[in-house]
Amino acid sequence: MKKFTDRYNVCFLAIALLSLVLFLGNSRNILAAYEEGDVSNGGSITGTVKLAGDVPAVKTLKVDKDQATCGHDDLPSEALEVSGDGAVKNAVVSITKISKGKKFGAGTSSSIDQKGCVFFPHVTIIPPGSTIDLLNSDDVMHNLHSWSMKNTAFNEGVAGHGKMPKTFEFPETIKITCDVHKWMTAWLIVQENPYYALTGADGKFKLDGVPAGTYTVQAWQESLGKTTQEVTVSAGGDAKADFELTKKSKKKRRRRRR
Amino acid sequence: MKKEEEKSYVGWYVLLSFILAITNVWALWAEIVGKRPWKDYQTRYYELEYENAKKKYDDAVMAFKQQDEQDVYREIERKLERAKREFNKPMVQREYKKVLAELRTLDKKELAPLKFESIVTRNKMLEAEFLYGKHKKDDSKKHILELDDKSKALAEKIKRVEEKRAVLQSKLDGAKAYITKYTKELESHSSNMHLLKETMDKLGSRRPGLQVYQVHLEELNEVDRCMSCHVGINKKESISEEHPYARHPRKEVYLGKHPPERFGCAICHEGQARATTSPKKAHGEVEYWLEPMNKGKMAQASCVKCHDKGEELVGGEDIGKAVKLVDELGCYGCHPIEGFDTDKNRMIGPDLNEISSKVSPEWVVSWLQGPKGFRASTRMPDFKLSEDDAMAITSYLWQNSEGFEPGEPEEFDEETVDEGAFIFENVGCLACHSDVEEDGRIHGPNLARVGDKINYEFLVSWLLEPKKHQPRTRMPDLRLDEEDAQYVAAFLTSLKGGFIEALSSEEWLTDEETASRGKDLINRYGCFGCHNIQGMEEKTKIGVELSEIGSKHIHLFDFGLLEKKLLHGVGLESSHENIGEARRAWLRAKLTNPRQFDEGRYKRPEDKLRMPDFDLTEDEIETLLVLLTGMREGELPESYIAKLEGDKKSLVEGKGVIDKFNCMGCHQFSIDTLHMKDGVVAKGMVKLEEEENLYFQLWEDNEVLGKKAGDTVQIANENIMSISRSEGGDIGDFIIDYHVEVEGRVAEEAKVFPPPVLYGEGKKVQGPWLFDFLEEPVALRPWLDVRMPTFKMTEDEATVLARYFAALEREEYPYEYIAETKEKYLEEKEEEKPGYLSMAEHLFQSKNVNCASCHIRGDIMPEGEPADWAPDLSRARKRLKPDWIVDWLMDPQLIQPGTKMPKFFREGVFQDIFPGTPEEQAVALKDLLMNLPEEMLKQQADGSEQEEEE
Repeated sequence: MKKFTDRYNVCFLAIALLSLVLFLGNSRNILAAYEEGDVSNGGSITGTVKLAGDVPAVKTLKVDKDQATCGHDDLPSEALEVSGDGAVKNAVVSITKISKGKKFGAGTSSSIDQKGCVFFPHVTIIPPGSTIDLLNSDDVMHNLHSWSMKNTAFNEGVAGHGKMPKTFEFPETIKITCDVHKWMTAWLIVQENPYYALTGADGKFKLDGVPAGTYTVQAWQESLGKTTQEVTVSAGGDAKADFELTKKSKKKRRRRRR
Repeated sequence: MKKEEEKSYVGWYVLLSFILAITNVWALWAEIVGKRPWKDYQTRYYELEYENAKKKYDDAVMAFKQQDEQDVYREIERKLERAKREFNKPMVQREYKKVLAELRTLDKKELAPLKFESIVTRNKMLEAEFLYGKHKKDDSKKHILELDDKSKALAEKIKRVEEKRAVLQSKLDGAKAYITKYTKELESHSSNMHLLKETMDKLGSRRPGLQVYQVHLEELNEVDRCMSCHVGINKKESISEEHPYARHPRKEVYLGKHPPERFGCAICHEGQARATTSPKKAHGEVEYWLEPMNKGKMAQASCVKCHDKGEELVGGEDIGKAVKLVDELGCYGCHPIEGFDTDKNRMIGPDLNEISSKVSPEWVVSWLQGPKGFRASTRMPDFKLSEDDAMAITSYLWQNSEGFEPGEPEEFDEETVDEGAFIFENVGCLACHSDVEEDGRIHGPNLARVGDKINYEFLVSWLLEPKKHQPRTRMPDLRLDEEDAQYVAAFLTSLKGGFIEALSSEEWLTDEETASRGKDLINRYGCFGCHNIQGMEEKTKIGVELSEIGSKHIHLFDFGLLEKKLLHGVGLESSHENIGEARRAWLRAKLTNPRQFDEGRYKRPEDKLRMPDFDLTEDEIETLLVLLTGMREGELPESYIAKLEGDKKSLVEGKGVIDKFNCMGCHQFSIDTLHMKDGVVAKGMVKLEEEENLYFQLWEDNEVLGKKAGDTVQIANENIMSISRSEGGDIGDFIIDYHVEVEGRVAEEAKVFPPPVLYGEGKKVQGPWLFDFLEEPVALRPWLDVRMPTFKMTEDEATVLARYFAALEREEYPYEYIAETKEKYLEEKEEEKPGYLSMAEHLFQSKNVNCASCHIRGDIMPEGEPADWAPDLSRARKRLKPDWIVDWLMDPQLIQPGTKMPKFFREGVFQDIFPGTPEEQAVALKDLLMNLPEEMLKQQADGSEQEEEE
């Protein structure tokens, strides 16, 4: 009997190994969904992100704690910044599904700071697998709370002038808050591919080095949500893509059981 | 007349001899063949067993003879041959023999003498020790030490020689390595076949003798011979699906827990277990046998003979459902049933003493004529009343009802209704009630059309204090203020489904004669079984007692004119063929259409059947039949009763209270368990499910995955076998939705708003505190809209619940020694680390921990808005378990993922304030929290907080 099972042990081991390989292979797959390479004669996508409809007044955030450090005045909200002509700041424009293309460039921001009880920068984009320093340049304790779903979430107090490095493995849009000072919010976007741009105050963006082809391009803004459009890029050409985001009307309070 | 000696009795003799011979033959025949059907079954069983073994062997032979397998086998044979040839080469042989000789010499010349000497030394030592014990001489002690040294030296030598020997041995093994390897491999290919052959041969040559297998149940004074036919019922292997040869289904559950040697079969299955002459007799399918065999899931009927009805039994799922159903339907309102109706603080239907201030008479008349027409999910059955009867009953109820005169229905503007909806949805109502018709009954009634029914003023008063109106209601007090209650009532009265029924005049309502007819009807239908009605408080239940219905004789069931039809329906010619089936046929018909037995017969109106129609589904009826079959007379001896004791009792009772108050409507009680195909099990919560992957946050360390508690892991859906989802917390989704859709938060962030998860609660809070809290809840989390209601549970219920949480975590209850609050503990700490508590206080107040930045402490409120505050730290001493506080401080995310409480203590931080490891720092804070000095909880006289000293 013993020898009989021995034989099956081998099979069992083989199956276990195989599934392990598959399992690992699978997780690798997700990580390696994007393949970096050289792009010759790539095209570009340019355009502006605008808000449809009236320009809303900038909301203010009430500073009601630690005023010695955070200041006594209200802070302007960064949740939605729109210029007079409707250009949207801090919108992220990106190609949603692209399997192959240019390399991730250097110069991606590698830290988020907290200064005067405000996160700098407000929106940060990093490639998957990168490590980012979360800093506290203030004299008070901030806690850094990531509300992530795919990457391991954390909530840790960071002492004044302290630093906490964290690594983000999976592509995801993550809200980061400081619960001690509830007006503080930052966004960290773990971006699957290097085709992304963050709009400035003029709402303009440019994605370059795009291999010729048709892509789904997405514009996302924290308060406005996202919208997508199909864009065809020719070799060496520049494709125009303007986005209009609409302010979501607040859903009615009544909800229905599902 | 012949003389006696001349008479011949030869005729008689021949005749009697003949009869005797016939009788003997008949007796023999009956003994061997006629009355022993089990012999055939046993013979057949052993045949099947042999065939089964033969088939397995044949399969193995076939597999072995497969070309592929043969190729492999021959290849190994060839390799073995080659290895043997290699081994037999003179050079190898010479070397082998040389090493072997060396080894033997080593054994003989070195190892053996050393070992001998070692034994001698040991014996000498024993002797010396013995002598020392007698004389205690100094030189004998010296002698012992010498011997000890010697034996140590010897051991060292032996070890060295053995090492040398091992080298030689491995050389020898090495030379034969291939031979050993291939021999083993060859065996592995054929051993299974040989083994199967052995088994087969054994079965073929030595069949057990045919015999009656009998279990004697001494305490019951019963014998159980079922296994004479069902030989394979408790065997490891199942050789047939067919009875009586089959093995017991789910054997591990049923027979594993009830070994047949102790329980027999009939204790669960009933039937006439001692009969051996025919299957029909043994199964009790004969005239006058009142409890024929329970087959299949019907055997679960017997679970309640020994087990508590509240216990959730593995393998007793059907009867468990039935118990719940009876409880829910309130069958015991009319029918006395033992083991039900034990909770005197609970009612089946609402009190009707205030009905005239609660609803309109038109509504009641319509309701009585078909409750399900108004609310499909109601538990109120249909009494098939005519409009006249309904009016008569209503009239009686109105003339016996207290309360205020309801005003005209009010109309509210949209804003008020919306505000009411907001409170309705956020304060916790949704845990028990739905305002969507399709949802049916959640725990409390469906409120989709409640506006058609209820009077606004009554509703406001009801919401403010439900128990004032109905002392036995399960509806808790949500501690709404009057304004909030008005808003909610405005919203609820706006929920309408278009009910308009105007009755011509209202004279009937005050007419005494109509009311007296109503009284007769109420008496006839026994409304007071479920409802409290003025003037009828002392009435007894009107239904037949069901406690022993499973043993009731079939003659006592009145089939009316339907006997043939119903019996044919279950394949019986007469009820005597199987009394159990016949009884169930009647019960099934009764539950399907309670009054059908009146059909085609003349009955005086007052003799007509009265049971209302519960509109049960077929499944529900079949489930109820299991329980009814099990309601039997007679009791088993004490030793068979599965008494609920200790933790098990606490858990079963606790679950009862949790169900009663629907605690799980708000609180999540357990976490998700992920079963993966490779056998890995992970505990935690599913965070996100996508097309290909699932993201799972571990709540417990997982070695196989190489991840720690708190980590989120990505798992491919194809690797997942099943997920056992967490229980409870149903209201959470609504609350999260609200904060996402209205406040624009991310879903993850909104998870702090539902009621707290109670997983591990027993480890967290102190028993006495929990008891107090259940009796009189206080708001612990000021940022939540949803609130813990006041249930006004009995002391017993609160005790049961507090004990439940302790039992779940195997914690002590109710008393637990808390050292931290004792002077001695602090003195020791101070001795170890002078200034211990004041250092901890510095840590508490350090600007980089600053607990009071978010936490309330006694009188002192944090800065900012109350919505961002955290629980009052002055409660910790009485509320929290010290060990839990330490775990919590070390990493709050592990205990309550998503919590706003950050982790502070990492290796190497705060060394200038409180030097030590993170754990030591957490322990110090815990000790401070368990001993917070009064001055830290009080606002200073000058109005300023105590400033931190630096």
